[in-house]
Amino acid sequence: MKYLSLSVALASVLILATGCSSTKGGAGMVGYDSNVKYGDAKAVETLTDAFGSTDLQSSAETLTQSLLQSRYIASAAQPPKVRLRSVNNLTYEHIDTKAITDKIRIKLLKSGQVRFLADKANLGEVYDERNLTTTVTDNKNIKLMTDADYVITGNVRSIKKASDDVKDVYYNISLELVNPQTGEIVWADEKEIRKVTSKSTVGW
Amino acid sequence: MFRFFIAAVITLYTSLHAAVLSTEQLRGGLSAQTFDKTLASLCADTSDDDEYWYWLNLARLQQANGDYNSSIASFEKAYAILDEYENRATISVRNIGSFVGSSLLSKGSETYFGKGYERALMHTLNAINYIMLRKVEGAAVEMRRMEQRQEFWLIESDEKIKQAAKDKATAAARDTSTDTVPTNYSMAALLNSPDIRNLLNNYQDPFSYTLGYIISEISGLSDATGDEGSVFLKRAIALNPNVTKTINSSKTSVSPEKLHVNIVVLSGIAPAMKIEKIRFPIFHAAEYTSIDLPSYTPPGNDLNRLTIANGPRTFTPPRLLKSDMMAYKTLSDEFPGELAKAAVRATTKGIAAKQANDHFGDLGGLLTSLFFDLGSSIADSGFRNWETLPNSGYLMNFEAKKGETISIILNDRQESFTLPKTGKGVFILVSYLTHDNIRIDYADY
Repeated sequence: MKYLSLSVALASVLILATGCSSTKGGAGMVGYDSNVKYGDAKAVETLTDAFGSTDLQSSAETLTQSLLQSRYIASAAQPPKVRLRSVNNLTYEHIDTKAITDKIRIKLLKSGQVRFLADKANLGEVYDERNLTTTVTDNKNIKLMTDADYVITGNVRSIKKASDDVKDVYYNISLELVNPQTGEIVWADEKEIRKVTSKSTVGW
Repeated sequence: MFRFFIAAVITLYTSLHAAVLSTEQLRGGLSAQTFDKTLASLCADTSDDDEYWYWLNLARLQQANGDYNSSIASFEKAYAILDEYENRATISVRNIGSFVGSSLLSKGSETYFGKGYERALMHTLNAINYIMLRKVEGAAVEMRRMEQRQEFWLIESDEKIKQAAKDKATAAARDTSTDTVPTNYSMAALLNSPDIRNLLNNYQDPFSYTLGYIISEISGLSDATGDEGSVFLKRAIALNPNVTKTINSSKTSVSPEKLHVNIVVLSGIAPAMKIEKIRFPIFHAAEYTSIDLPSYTPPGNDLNRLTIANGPRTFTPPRLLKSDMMAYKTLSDEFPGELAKAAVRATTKGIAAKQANDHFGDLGGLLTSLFFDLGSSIADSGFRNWETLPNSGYLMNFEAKKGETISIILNDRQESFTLPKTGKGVFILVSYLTHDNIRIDYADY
């Protein structure tokens, strides 16, 4: 009995040690059962404070509406030719900014108020396609293909601040419509997003 | 019955901590002959895939193997684990458990989440992965993360300093001395070294900031970020004035026959943390007692000589990344707290043994003491960290003619590299794991 009591006491010590030392930092990446279902693509997503689908959708929506209302687009005699250049990612996250520009392009094209030229990344493939069909370079046609009335550029920025209990992330997505001939910025707008994450007071 | 119980507990405990590759096997298996097997074993060993150190070690080996996509994925796993830790509830059951375990039972009960310099350097190394994949914007993101990550470390360090003061007061109340570094402690001389004490801090390194400057320049985004590159460079120079010797290329575009050359050399393996048990006159009732303190194995496989030659020009890049110094500086800064905690652990053990002795006789006291030793030994054996972090990092930036050959002399080995004939610049990564396991890779832009 004496030894049994001692065993229990020592076992408690060891179990405590085991529990402590095997405490894992696990990020919930492994060992979980999957349960796949369809979700609403437009539903608000607040899983983390990272730039997510809701931010992408709301940014594209706001900036596209603003651009379509600008007089350079709304009052143009005929839909201007626009080339979307890259949107720079200046944040702390690996954001696929191509997803933002693609979404904006689709929304603008659907409006019928602008015409789009192939962007820089795809221009090489367009050249290749032309070379297959024309043996002599047609400078006039090439010029039509490359000359844009306007160029859209932009930046995604973020400011992150954290205290003991609160994390604050501010995103600023800005776009500019630039006349490539003059360098004049004829339109610019921004979408601001702020996300605040609070730590639980007590938790696992 | 009792022996069976002990055996069962030990078996269970050992199985919980069994990693396929021990620290020694991992660090000793980096030569050309064994590297592939070591990497394959680490990849296949999923027993520790919820541990921060596992993903860091794997990411480093994958990078040294030229598998940059896999290395990025591994670093992301490490980030996720660290992010989860940093976002835990203010009063977290796991943190309390780890704290109680490390305060009362064993240093090895702590779960490893890296030190400030390691948390910064994982982003620096991952930035190199992105450059090698020609994703400069991604590399720039990593350099911003490198700086951002330091904020949490500062909060955590501040808490550690406060806790150290409390631990010291507790130890003093129990009439235990924690004012001096034990002379038989293997790190005693290093902790008192002026080179270590004079380091500006334990988490910022000039290598990362110089690389941040170069990435900013390559990406062409420096202006858009409010001259982020210049800010990085100023910080690098403040940390080590020799940084000025590494930047020899003009900021403006070079003549058409030339290109920017950026060479990064990562060499050796940094000191690996271990737990050292020493006898120390701390507990008056027992005269001498055994305390466990964090300690380091020496760095390995590092370079003694690095020279880069391009025609008549010869460069000797200064050592900008000094992981060993940062590890020792961290230990030096945290040592008062560690010693106080070790004293509390030793006292706890003494008190428990005394109570067991009073209740169960001499055998009870002896067994309790043995159990504590056994438990802490087992816990300590599972205490791992980033054991493959490069010990040194060198960086050199200059202009050279396209198509020229440059020589990189690594100790007694000379490697040649022919520069690309097109492009604005080239980023060359030299991974020196051992004298016979060197990989030179490049990305042009």
